[in-house]
Amino acid sequence: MNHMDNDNMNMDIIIARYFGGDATPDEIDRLRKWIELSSENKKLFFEQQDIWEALNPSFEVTDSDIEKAERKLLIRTGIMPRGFGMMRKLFVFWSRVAAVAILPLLAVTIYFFHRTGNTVHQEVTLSTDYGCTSKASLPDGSVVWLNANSALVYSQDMGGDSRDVNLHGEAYFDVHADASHPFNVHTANMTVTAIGTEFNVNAYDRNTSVTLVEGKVVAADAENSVSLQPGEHLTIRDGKSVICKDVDPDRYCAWRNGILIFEDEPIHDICRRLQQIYNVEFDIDPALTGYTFRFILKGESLTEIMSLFQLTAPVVCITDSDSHTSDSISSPQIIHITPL
Amino acid sequence: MTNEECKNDALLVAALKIDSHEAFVKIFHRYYADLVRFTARFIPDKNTCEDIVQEAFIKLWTNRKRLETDTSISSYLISLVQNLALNELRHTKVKMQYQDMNHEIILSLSPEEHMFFSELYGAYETALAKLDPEVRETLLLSRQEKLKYAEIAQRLDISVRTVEARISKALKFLQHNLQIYRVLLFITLCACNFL
Repeated sequence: MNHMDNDNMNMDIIIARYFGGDATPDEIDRLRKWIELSSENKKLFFEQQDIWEALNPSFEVTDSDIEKAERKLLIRTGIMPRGFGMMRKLFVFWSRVAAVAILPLLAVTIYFFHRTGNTVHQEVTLSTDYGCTSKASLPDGSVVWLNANSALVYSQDMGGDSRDVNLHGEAYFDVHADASHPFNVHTANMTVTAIGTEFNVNAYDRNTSVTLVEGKVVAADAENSVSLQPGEHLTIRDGKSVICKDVDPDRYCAWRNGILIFEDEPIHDICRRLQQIYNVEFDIDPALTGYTFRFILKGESLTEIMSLFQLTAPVVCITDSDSHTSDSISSPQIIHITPL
Repeated sequence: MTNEECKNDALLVAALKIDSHEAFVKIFHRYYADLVRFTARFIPDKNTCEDIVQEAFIKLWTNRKRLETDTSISSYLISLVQNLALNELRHTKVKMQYQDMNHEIILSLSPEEHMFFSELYGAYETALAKLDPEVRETLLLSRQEKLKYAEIAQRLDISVRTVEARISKALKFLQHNLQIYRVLLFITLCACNFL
C-alpha cells in the first residue's frame, strides 16, 4: 500500500516532469507503462494533458488564420467559385480604398453632376392637400414652403444649366444662391427666374402673382418679361400684368406660418383665397360685390373662419348640407354667403 | 455544450443535409479554432494542424448527406481529426515534441472524452483563481512565461523538486475542479440526447 502511494506520488512528479520536458527516457518509458496499466491512469494522464495544453496552447489561432482557412475551404468544397478568393481580396482592398476616397469622390461627383447634368432625370412631385402646408429642401439646397392644395414638380438631380421647378398652387421659395444656375419657377402662364432670393409665387389658376421679398427675380410670360424689386408684387390676370410697389410681403407670405392676412380686400378675393386653401366653393350673393373686409386668420378651421366672418361682418354663411355628405368627401363643400 | 446548442446541432445537421452553405460556415466558425488547438495536442506544427482540420471540414461537407440526424457535430469532427492526425503520424516521421509518447492512446480516446478549450475556458478561470497563490504563480511561470522548471526554481529560489511538486499539485487541483464541470456537461449532454 505504502509502495503504491509512493509509486503514484512518483508518477505525479514524472507527469509534471514530462510536461515540463524534463523527463528522462527511462521516466517516459515508466509513464507509458503506467498509462497502459489501467483506463483510470489513462484518463488521469490525458485530462491533465488537456489542462496543460489549454493553459498555453502551442500556438494561437488568429482571426486571419480563420479567415484564410474559411476561404480555402469554401473554394475547395466548391461553395465559393474559384477565383472568388482573389476577387474577395481585391474587394477588401478596394473597399478600403473606397472608404478613404468616398467623400472626396462624392463631392467631385456632385460637382460634375451639377456642371454637366449628365444624369437620369427622375421627377419628384411634392404636393399638399387642402388645409395643410409643408416645407421641403430641394436637391440644390433651396428651401420651399408649399401652401395647401399645391404641387411642385422637379427633377431629382436638378442638374443642367438651370434649376427648374413646375408649380401649381402657391409656394414660397428661399433660393440657394448660385449665379451660374438660374432657378426657374414655371407656372401655367409665366416663368419666374431667380438666382439667390426669397419670393412667393401664387399660381392656383390663370391668375398668377409673384411677391419678391429679397434679391431680384425676372418674371416672364409668353410676350413680356419684367424685373421685380424687393417689396414688389406682380399679378398677371387675364393676360394683363399689374405691379404694386412697397407691399407688405407678410400679406402674401405669412401663410408659411399658418397666417392669412386680409387687408381691405374685396369679398371675392378673400373667398378666392380661401378656395385655394380649403376644399370649398363659395356662392356669394351679388349684393355683396364691392364690399371689402379686413381680418387676420391664424390656423383656424374653415368652420371657425365662417363663424368669425359672421361675427365680424353683416353676412350669413350657410353650408350647403347636400354638398358635403360623407360619400362625396372629396368634392368641395359649397357655402352660400348672403347679406344679413 | 448547452441544451440550446444541442438543439442547434440538430438544426445544423438538418440544414447541412439540404446543402445549406450558411450552416456549413456557421459550423466552421464555431469549431475551427478549437479543432486546430486540439490537433496541436499531437502535432506541434501549426500548418499541419490547419491542413488536418481543413481536411476534416471537407469530409464533413462531402459526407453531409450521410450524416445521422442526431450526430453531435463536435464529436464527429473530433473523430475525423483524430483519424487524420493518426494517419499523419503514421506516414510522416516528423520530429515532434511528443514523438516519444504513444499517440495512439490519446487518439484511441472516444471523441466524447475530449473537451474543447473554449468549452472549458470559463471553468479554468474560476479554478485557477482558487489555486494557492504560490502554486498558481509557479504554474503560470511555466505555462505563460514558458520558463523551464530549472529557471522557475532559480527565480523563486526553490528546488526543482518543489517546482515539480507544485505543478503536479496545480494540475491535480484543476483536474478535480474541472471534473465537476465535466460531470455537469455530461449530464447536459445526456439530457440533450434524451430530448
